[in-house]
Amino acid sequence: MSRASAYAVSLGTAVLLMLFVIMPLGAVLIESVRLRGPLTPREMRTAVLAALERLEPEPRRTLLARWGDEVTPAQRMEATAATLEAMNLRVLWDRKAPFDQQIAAAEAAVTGLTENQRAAFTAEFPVQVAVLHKRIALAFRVRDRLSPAEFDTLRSGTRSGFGLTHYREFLGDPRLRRAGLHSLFVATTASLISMVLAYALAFAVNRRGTRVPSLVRFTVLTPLVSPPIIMALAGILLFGRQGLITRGLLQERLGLIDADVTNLYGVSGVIVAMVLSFLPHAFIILDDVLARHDGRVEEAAASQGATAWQIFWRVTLPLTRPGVIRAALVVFILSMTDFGNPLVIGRGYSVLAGVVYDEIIGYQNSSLAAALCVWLILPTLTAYFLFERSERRKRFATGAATGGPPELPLSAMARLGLGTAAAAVCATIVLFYGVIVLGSFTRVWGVDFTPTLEHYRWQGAEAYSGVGAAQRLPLIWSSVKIAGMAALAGGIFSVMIAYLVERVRPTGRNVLGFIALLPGVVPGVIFGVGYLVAFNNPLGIRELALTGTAAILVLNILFANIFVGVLAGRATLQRLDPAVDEAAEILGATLGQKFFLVTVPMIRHVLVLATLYIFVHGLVTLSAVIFLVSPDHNLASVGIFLNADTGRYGLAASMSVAILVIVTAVMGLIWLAERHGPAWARVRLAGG
Amino acid sequence: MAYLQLKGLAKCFGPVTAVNDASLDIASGEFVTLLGASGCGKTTLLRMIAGFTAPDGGEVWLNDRRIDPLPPRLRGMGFVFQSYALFPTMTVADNIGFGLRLRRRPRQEITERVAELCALTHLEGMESRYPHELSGGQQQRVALARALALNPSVLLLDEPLSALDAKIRALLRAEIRSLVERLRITTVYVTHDQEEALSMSDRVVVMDRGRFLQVGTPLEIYTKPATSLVADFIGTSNTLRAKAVPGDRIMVEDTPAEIQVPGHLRGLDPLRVCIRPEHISLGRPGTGPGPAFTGTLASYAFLGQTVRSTIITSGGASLLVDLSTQEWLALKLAVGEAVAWRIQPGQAMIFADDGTALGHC
Ligand SMILES: Nc1ncnc2c1ncn2[C@@H]1O[C@H](COP(=O)(O)OP(=O)(O)O)[C@@H](O)[C@H]1O
Ligand SMILES: [Mg+2]
Repeated sequence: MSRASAYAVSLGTAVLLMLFVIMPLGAVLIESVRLRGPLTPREMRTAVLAALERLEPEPRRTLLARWGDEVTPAQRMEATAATLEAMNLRVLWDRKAPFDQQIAAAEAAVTGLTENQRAAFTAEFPVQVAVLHKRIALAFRVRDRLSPAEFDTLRSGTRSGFGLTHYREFLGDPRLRRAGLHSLFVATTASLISMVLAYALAFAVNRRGTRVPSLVRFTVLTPLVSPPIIMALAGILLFGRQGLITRGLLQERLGLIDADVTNLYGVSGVIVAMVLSFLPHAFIILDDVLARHDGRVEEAAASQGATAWQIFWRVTLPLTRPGVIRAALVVFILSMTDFGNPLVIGRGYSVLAGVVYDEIIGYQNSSLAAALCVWLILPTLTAYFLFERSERRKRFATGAATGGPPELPLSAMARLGLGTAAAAVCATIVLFYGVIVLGSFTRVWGVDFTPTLEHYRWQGAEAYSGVGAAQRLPLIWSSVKIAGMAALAGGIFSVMIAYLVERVRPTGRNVLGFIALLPGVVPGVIFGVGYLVAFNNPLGIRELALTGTAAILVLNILFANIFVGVLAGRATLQRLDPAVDEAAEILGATLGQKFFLVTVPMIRHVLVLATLYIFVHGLVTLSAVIFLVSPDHNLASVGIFLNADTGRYGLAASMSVAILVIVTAVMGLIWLAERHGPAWARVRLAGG
Repeated sequence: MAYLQLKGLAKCFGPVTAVNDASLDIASGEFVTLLGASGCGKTTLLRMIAGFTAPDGGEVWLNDRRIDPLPPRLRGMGFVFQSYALFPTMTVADNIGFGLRLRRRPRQEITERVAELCALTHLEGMESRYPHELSGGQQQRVALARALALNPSVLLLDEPLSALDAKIRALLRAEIRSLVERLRITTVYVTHDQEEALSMSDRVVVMDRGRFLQVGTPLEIYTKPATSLVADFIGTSNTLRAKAVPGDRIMVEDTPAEIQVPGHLRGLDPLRVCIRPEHISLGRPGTGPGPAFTGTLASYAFLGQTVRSTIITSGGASLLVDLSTQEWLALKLAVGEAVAWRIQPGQAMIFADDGTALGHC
């Protein structure tokens, strides 16, 4: 029965999405309020008393008496001090003095107690002995009368509870607060600069401000599909202490500066790397907005006698403002959550995303990291959703749009300005990529510029994964393998979700569609932390753990990127006739036959796009997977980051070049798929 | 002997009642058309028969077997969609042979059957083309051939000709009719075009807002509409106020008319009289046999074989009258002139105020 199979497939998909999208995101929230830490003395005493209560009075008395006799003099002294404190009496001797002195002082203090005090002391003392020295023995003694959680608490003396402590820690700890302010500063600056640059470039491309618009588009969009931190790496190679320009040109040739003092490390480097990395995200939005914008509005303004300057400020800019805000918000979110660039080029300029990375990799403090993640995105995501909501309500109507840019000529000044800006940005990007290629063929950057292929041999632990396995894969091939698996499974999965939502239409299909899109909005660092905390010890069952496997990488890459295929698939299916599916059904096709024989051939170019997209992103993603790699299953993007972070620039550069080559080949395939896609179902690969 | 039976089918979409208590017995080999304005529930009813839409209530029986719990693919029906819904990635031959391939018939058999169907639907030579390389009429034929490929027990067609231009439409109408007649396939055909319905069907079901207004042969529907709604919908007709008066006559528009009516109509006032434009004759006042109503010629339009004129009656109603061009030219009427008009004997349809038919006179 096709209804039953439709039900089963929808349910299965829902379960997968719950497990691998909702659960990790929920796990971040839960982890952020989880508290672990030692019990306070008071809590410890309560736990011990509760455990003692579980014993019969007689065994309890003998046990306490025996413990009282067993303790060493030093332990007795400790217990005495604790008892006095518990009775709210001051401990009058020096707790830092040598033990024998302290022991004598303690005995003297006990002798000095009043009658009443002594009775209280005698009652409390055995309890304190138990709290301080016999807690674990007691725990095992009454183990069968305690719940597992009570036993655990008593045995370890630590608490596992829930609370907002980690959130408060962010506000209270100056180190975290400073990192937060740094994040805000670089993200704001980077998003403002990117927005202005992207607007100028999009304007130049769409309004004949440059003579080679497609070249500008191509160049500006390239970093969208480039290996991580490539801009920071190139920034170091050009402007670092050993930088080609800072040391090679300005110091050694011109003697203008000292490259050890004046270089790009620090906040300025972070901002430059972020702007160049995230400019394409802003550009793709503004390019789209300006390309759709109906130029007749400007022509109408011109016919009313407005100058070019007035037209821009009064007409064009207000009409494109939603795109401007969206572009700025997107870059802001990306910069807030980026840790690769700041860690590589920031050199001590700590940002919040970097702290998250440190807390997890350095201190395994995933609870604090999770809370910081929430701090990181909560404000921006709220702003973003509020913005999207207000945009949906007010939509500018300029009448029937006929499309096309205005035919108004651009003034020579404007053309010169826009052209120069476009040329400068493109030249910078080309320069940055060029220096990466150069770096990959250079023995030791800044020291020994002998051309070499040694970085491409990928030898040594830095370039390898697969410890102990018979074949040791260079990281590149490990990346290709894992991204490839995610792409093959994810491509068809995303098309299937689109088909389910648009054609099978089970109840709750909108929720299904929404969940599949979530990873497209949630920054990678959060998705990575989520997988780490969700699958480290899922449901308390160690055997279910996915951390340390290749599967967790495949799943993470897959679920983080299916949204592209889902979006494109749904958009295409919405434009195709739903009756085609019914025609197949009445001719006898089952659910599977309808999908594989009819739907997939119709939207096969979406399948190709979705697959290649996941593959490319699997190769270049860093922020999520860095928390999930293990010695056995590592990825090239992580290798690039770690090598760049530890100064092995040649190796980092060679891996980057290798990824670039693979990505370029794959993009060529996408281009072919788009060109040869059938006219009735052509979809443009949306950005992001 | 009923072959396909609909028993009290009903379907609501939220507040909209798309189909309400549809019951119909269709004989084997019969051609039944569902006719009604857009949005009256024809498609919904057809989709319930096919199994694409689950009814809220009622049953579907085929050959004495209840089939409404079955999914579409187990009902053995053919469906031609309004949009054709051809598989764009498959050639004509692959489209037609799709169902056969799903059933894993031998390749040889599929090829032969596809060739046979192409011959039947005049698609020879198109086998290896893709749908987007065909004209609308050819796409329609492919859709028809595909629906017939599995020898369906019932053929369902949802406005199959609505996307085509008038000439092709007339041609395909005849082709479809002769094809299903030859193959003796029980057919349910949906259309909003009354000409199509009247010319193709054995029986017509007139629908309005999810209900059946009338079920009957095309002739019955045209000449004996069960309600004034049907009369309005089928063909063009004029509706005038009337009342029965002593002497078993009726007054139309407060003018006594020489129309004899059965005695039982008295007391059913007010009445409505429907007259088709071709059943009214015109003359100059004072000419012609017997009494006449009066009016003024408001406008006229030359339609080819006929001239359609609009008369404003003395009661103020507007009346459409069709005359043959010959008759019209003989009259030499000018706009604004007074005219006398008569209802041809036996051609006035009388309805009660609630729309139920009371007979002809
Ligand atoms: N899937 C649906 N959801 C909601 N309303 C529907 C749906 N299908 C049909 N309707 C409504 O049911 C009524 C009948 O529709 P339909 O059967 O398509 O009419 P017809 O084919 O006679 O034009 C219409 O009012 C239509 O809006
Ligand atoms: Mg319809």
